[in-house]
Amino acid sequence: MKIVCVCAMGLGSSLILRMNVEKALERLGVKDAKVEVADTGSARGANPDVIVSSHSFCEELADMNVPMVEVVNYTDIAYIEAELKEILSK
Amino acid sequence: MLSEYLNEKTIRTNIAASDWKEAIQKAGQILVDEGIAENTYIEAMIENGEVNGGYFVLVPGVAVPHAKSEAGVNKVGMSLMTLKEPINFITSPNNPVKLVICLAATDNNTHIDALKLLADFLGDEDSVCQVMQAKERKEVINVLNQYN
Repeated sequence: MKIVCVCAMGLGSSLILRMNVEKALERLGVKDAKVEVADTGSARGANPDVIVSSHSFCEELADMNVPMVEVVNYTDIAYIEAELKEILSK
Repeated sequence: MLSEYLNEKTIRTNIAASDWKEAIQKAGQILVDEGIAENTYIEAMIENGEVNGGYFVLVPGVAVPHAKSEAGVNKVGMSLMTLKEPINFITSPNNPVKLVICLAATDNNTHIDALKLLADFLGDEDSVCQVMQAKERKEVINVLNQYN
């Protein structure tokens, strides 16, 4: 399972997001997921199973038809956890 | 250690700015004054906002402007500036902004430890609130000292 955190640059906000996605996965007890960061350009080629990003990037990548976690507050781990749990249960 | 990047030299409190571009200009100027980045980096951070919107307002009230290192970063660094009055940064559900933290990175790795501490700080609503309300630099430094 590959989760890709997307932002414009791939070096600031997506890294913070990755840290918090990893914390959320730990809380969910998920061990076999890989979390990467990408900018919108490379996200398409990364073949993600799940995308985590903010609204405008989720909208931009909507045509990829990949489950998305749209975050508002990058440090709200409980929210990320709940969203991932829902996606993983499907 | 966060204080390696956010300290007396790189923190300012209660700065006035008329809009988000001026706010980034002023917070970015701290990076330039400290030799961390060039003026071109300030322009790139502002352009990032114009092109990609306010996605870098990561948590309620806090903007983390940044751009690609090729745009003019000399070394890893950060600046922190609290605004006298809250300002809306383009569009974002986390507006208005009271705290601006500029990030300058050279690659994807050198700044990871500092970024982790920054992420811990941003996740702590009480600490963020204390920094937003700080009247003096040393109040901010006291709060950030927890993150080492």
